[in-house]
Amino acid sequence: MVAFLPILIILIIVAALTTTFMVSSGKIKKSLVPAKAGGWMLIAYSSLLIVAIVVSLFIPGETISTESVDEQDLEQTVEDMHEAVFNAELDDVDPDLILQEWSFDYEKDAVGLDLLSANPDQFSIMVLIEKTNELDDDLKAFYIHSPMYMDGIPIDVETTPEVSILDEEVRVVTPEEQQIRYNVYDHGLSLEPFKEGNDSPFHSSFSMAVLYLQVPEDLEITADISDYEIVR
Amino acid sequence: MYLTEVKTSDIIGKQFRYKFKSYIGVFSSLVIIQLLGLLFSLSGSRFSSSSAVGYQVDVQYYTVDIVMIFTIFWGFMSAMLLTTKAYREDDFAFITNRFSSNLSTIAFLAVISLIGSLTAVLSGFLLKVVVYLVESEPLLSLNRGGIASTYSLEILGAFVVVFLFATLGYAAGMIIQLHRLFIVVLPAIFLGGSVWVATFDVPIDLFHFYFQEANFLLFLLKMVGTAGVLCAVAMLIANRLEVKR
Amino acid sequence: MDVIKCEDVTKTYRRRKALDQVSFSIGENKLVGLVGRNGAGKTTLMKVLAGMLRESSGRVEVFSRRPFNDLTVSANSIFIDDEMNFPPTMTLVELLQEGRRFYQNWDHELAMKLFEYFNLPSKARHQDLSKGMQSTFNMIIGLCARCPLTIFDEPTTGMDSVVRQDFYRALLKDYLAHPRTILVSTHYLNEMEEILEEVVLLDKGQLVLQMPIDELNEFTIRLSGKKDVLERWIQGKEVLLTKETGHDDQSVILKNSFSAEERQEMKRSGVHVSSVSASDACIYATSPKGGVDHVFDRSEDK
Repeated sequence: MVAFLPILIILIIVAALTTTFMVSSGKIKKSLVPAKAGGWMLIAYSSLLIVAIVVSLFIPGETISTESVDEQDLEQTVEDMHEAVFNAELDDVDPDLILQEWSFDYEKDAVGLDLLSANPDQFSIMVLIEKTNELDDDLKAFYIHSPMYMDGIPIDVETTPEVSILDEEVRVVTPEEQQIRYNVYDHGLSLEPFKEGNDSPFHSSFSMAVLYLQVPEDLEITADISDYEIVR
Repeated sequence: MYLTEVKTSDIIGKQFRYKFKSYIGVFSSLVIIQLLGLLFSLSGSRFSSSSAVGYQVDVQYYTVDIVMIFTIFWGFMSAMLLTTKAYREDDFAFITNRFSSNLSTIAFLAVISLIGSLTAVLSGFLLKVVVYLVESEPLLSLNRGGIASTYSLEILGAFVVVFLFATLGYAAGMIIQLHRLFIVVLPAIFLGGSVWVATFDVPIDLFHFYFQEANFLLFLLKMVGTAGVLCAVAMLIANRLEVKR
Repeated sequence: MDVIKCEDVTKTYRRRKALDQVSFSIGENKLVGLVGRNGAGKTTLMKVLAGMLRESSGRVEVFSRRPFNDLTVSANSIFIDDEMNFPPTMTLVELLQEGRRFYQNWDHELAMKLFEYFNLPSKARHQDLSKGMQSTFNMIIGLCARCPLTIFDEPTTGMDSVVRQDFYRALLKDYLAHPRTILVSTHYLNEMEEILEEVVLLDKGQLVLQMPIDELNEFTIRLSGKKDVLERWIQGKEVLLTKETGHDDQSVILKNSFSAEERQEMKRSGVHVSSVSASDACIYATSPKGGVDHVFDRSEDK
């Protein structure tokens, strides 16, 4: 009930305004505005709207479309990426999705993982390890990120974690969290027929961040088993 | 004796013009209410937030939903006001009968509903400009595609809703004119009905019937059809009302 | 053809009968006064005729049509009273222009001339006017609409006597130039006697009389003289009013049913015979027996 109170108050205000500004004849003669003001106010307001329409044409800023994001396409991309990394087929991963590569000399017999993030409870990069005989005494790391969309807005992913070798550990530090804010003007009416086709245009699509490590075949992994997964 | 023969349609036209001049005040309240709605809309209507690795993305949506709601309510209130004695009998100064008087009032309601929904939909541009000027973040425009990208259809959609509520106000006002007691009875029926539906899970969901209709044509049909029924009810009642002035 | 025809018209508001079985008819091109005391049902009758109210029973015909909800009746009749609602969004001149658009016979030239003559402010709104000026403006609309049936309900409310006289002249002149049926209710019958052709008198919702104004002037008679002399003449007659004018003197008003010879004889026996004006006749015909004097009369023979 309390939640309805502001709505109720606003409706009462609107009702009062309608009644007061509506000029009546005969019995109720009082009105806040001159009787004929209605016409002039409408004309002035319409002119303002027309000016706004013209001005809005010059407002920079792209138009995002819920239609331009083909969800199936997006899902397919993520799926393909998922399949490629889990099958250790790095070559099959879309090169655009590999945001950064590292290469380290590493001569020790074992390696651990030191996963650090600003938020200690949550390290949201998936660490996958591929043991390969193509490497000898060196490590390679790849940061792979799927395309990210928020309510149909493509988000440019540019930040990457810091990856470094420290003694017998690979240290991964997640990037500082960046705040991105968008203002979106949505002229669509909140009426059902106008939502057709996109039941909820307001969703963020699933995104996937992977740190892919290639290590020599005989390297021993000393990290906590829950921190990583060996794909081959 | 020579009697002037008049055509009903002709008189309705004249009454419409007369009413448009008489009730021009409805537009001052429309403008005030829509500007007020825009003011409320400046704080944004929806907010969604999502985070991913290294990112926290917030999206603030600006819509004219509040303006639409205000306009709907304005239509309802204005129509109801027109049924009060002072307004209802305005046209009895000149040639009229109840039929032509009602039809011209309904035509007037239709026109103000159209103007109201037109300005409500277009007020989005004003909102867009103001948000762009006030906010520092980039402003994007969402194109939902389909019929939502056609302004004329949006105006049509808004119009049928505003008009439906205007006829609802008109019919309710007429019922109240029939007997003062209905001022209490009508809201009681409405509230009681809502509670009844809510508590007993009665499968009559009017809201669902009218506003969850996804098919645009069916949606229009339901709105216009109901508005027609409400007009008929109002006219039936008005035919019983005498001019008391 | 009768313009107005009423048969046993009754109008009830809740329990109260505002009109009680009123039957009368008014022919074409007559200037008729509708008179009666406050609450006699004049306004109700006029509103029924104008189609604003629906008769509770009986039959009302205007131009041989039922007026309630009839567009033809509305187009050919106009009802002017002092409670006319005009929107405040229009100036007086704009309202006249509206009248011109609505009524086919509208005489705009006359309207503007009268408007100027009565010094009405053209930019003013109806509700800004004084009561008398509102009445004047309404009267202009009523006259200039030139409707075959024009109904004025107390058109002179608030007018000063000069404007009233002007209105009567204007009404008469326009009526003569464009004959039509005009029904006027008024409390100033004495002022209008000269221009009215016929009078319809209502009392307590009932029709008391309808007759040409000339006949009404002869309808009642005033006799004054010694009580004992008068006694002989008024015995068995319907006395409308008795007034003590002196210790022994009396003045009575009664329906004139005396022949010329009888009146001669009365004069010879010392009774003063005088005529009663139509307006007084109406008052006496509808006032309670004895008049207000009777209220103050505390003598025992009451």
